[in-house]
Amino acid sequence: MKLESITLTNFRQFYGDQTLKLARDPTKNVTVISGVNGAGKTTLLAALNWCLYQENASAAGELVNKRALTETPVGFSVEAKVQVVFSHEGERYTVVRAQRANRISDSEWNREQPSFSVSRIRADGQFETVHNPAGAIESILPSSVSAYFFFDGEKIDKFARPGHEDEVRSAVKQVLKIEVLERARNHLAAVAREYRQELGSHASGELNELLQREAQLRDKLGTNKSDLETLRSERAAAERQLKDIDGRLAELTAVRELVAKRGQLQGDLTAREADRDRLWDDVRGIVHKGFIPLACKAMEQAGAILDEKRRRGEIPPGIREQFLQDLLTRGRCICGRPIGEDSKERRALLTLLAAAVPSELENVVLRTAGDLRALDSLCRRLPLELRDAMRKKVAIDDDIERLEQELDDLSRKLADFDQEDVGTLERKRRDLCDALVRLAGEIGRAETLISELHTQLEAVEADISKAQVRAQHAKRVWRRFTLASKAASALDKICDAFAADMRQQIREEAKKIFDTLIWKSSQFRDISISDDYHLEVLDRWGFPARPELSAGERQVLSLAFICGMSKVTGEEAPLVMDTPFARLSTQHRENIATQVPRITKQLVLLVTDEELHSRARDNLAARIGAEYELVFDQSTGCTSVRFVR
Amino acid sequence: MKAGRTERDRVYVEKRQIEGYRKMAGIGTARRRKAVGADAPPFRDLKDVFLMAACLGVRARQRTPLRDKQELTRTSYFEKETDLAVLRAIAIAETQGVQVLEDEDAIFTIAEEYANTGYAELESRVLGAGRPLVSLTDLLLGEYADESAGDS
Amino acid sequence: MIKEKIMGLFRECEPAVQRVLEKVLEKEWAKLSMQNPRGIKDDIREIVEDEARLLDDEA
Repeated sequence: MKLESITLTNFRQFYGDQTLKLARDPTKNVTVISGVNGAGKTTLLAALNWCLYQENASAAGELVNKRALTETPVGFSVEAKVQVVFSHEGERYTVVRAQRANRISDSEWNREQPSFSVSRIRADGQFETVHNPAGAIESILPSSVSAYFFFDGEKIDKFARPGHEDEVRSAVKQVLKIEVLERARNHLAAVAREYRQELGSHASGELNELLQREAQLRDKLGTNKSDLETLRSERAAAERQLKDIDGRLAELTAVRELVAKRGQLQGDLTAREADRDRLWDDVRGIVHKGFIPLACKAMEQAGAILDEKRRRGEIPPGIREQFLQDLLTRGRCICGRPIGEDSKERRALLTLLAAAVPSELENVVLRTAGDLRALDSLCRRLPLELRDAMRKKVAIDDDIERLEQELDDLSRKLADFDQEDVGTLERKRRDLCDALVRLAGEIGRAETLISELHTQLEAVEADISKAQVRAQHAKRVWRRFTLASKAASALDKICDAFAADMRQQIREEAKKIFDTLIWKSSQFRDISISDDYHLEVLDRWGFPARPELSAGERQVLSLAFICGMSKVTGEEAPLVMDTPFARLSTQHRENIATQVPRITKQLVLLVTDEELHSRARDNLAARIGAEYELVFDQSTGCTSVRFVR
Repeated sequence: MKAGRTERDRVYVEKRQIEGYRKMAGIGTARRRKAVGADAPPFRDLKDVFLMAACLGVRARQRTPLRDKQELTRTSYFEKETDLAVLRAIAIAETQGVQVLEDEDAIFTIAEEYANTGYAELESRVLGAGRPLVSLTDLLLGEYADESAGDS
Repeated sequence: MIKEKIMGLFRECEPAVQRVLEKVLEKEWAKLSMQNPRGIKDDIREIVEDEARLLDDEA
């Protein structure tokens, strides 16, 4: 920050617009604003603080210039305003704070809330209103830090006094932005704590337990499954055996049927065999006279001879008997004459017949002829009968052969069967049925158990998943926790190291500056800023020498400290010192006047005439870029600014 | 029994044929088991065997005089209407006359000599392979077929 | 200037921590002017989360 100008309008004792342009040139960076006590030096500083930070708004009475107030008619308003223009990092800021007072009546005023605005011209030349104006100012030069740059002599004395470690610490921290580090560390630590708490709610060993349980369940499941397999095999075997037995029982039924059939066939066969026997008996009967047809020819011949003889009349006398019989039978003679019933012819024939004497030979011949005629039919019949019988025999033989075949088949079938009896089989069957019932129950139980195990396993696996997720989750939380805590630790370390390093640097710079500012340099060996922020000067024997410092020396120490800090941090803040030299010795003043402008970028000195005179002023002269005088008009009670150079 | 007619009371065959005749009539050893049906002896009686042999001989048209004759059976066993009629017919055919009817001896001699011829075939067929009755039946069926076929 | 100095102090940390610190310090810096910046802890937590999420993805 480099101040450009400060404009007061009706601010306290400053009547009207009063502008001070401040020296910014690197070589002429000192602005001297002189005035007698009460002229407004302190007010000027206050105005700066009020404008930037709204400090001390309600203190020291009325903000609005009294004269301006009285000049404001009723119903009108008047404004106390401070405008500060400064540049920072290439940008030009205009800060305006104003408070309006409305005159309601002669004696009544209405005071509005102060208005505050910050605008800036960016590096690229763009004008813009700054949002969050207070924040912007804070980030450029925090109010707490500003106290060390816009100070008065009283204040700086404080630093050097014992018991002000807190203030020193606070200063260092703020200037060095250690606050940032500390806040960051605290917040990160808080976040880490939160994560830790989250972690705390996750069981760590739970995953292992669950995995063990899962393994157990799987083993159990495996065992049970193999048991089930065994049971199922047993059942299958029993079912097969049962099927066998049922088959055998069925076979036995079939056997019975076969046996019945066999009996039947047997009967049929026997019947047919009997038929065959009978047939042969018949054949025997035929064959008994079978020779007759063989003699057919001879019989024909003989018959022919007999007939011939008969025809030719060579029939023996016995034949006449036959002849006579024939006549009688015919009832007519060969000449044609009828032979009547009671005629003499008939009687004559009868007499002849009675007288005839058959010969044996005649009889034999007659008989033979008759026999032969009778046998003739046999000649034809017997062969036919025999052939017929043979045909029947063939049919019977076929039947018998068929029946024998069937019986043979049957017998073979029956021979295949075991002679197990039904009773044994039935018993076996019952046992198997019982076994199957028992197995069904066991299998059912085993299946239920396996199903339960599956359910349990599923549940455990779900738990494992969840635990894994949680473990995953825990990992994630752990990751966050470590990240946050690592960052916090890093900040811790760094904080301390940084602070220590900064302290060291500040110490060195402060020493340098101190050395240049003090004239008893030989007496004082070193400046130290302890860990707990004791700001001390060590004498040549290494002992703290602070109590022995004079007020002036103490001021110088503080100044050195502030300047050292400023140097180290590179904080570009103007040093605005209000009557800094009041307590200092001449030598000190001279030193300060010489050195300080070198060690700050911008120096504004609010001094009384006595403070800065002769050598000190001369030393300072070269670097004075602007000088003003605050002129207090007793009569008006107002101060005005007079530009000197 | 009239004079003028020679009578015969026995019929004769060759001595060596007797056993065969007896076998074919089922006489002797065959009686131990009761043979039925096809196993039964083909002939009921010795005379039946003789008649069959004689007719076979007639079919063969050959007479063989007996050399070493032995009594087979009585002639009175022959049935008059059938057996004797056939023998007479044979004799009439043989002598081409009826005169032989008065000579019973001649009738039987003719028959015996024809039987002597026919016996060989009969024995070989009937007592050969197979059951006698079945063989005889076969033999007869064959002879009948030949007869009706017209060969003589 | 002091900013760079501070940032330079974290060079030795792990990159993830460095990144977190950078972002956190930026945030704190921005809110430094406020006495008790509201929600800053949540912002910080968010920064940690974001960085950790990248690590999650790597994992």
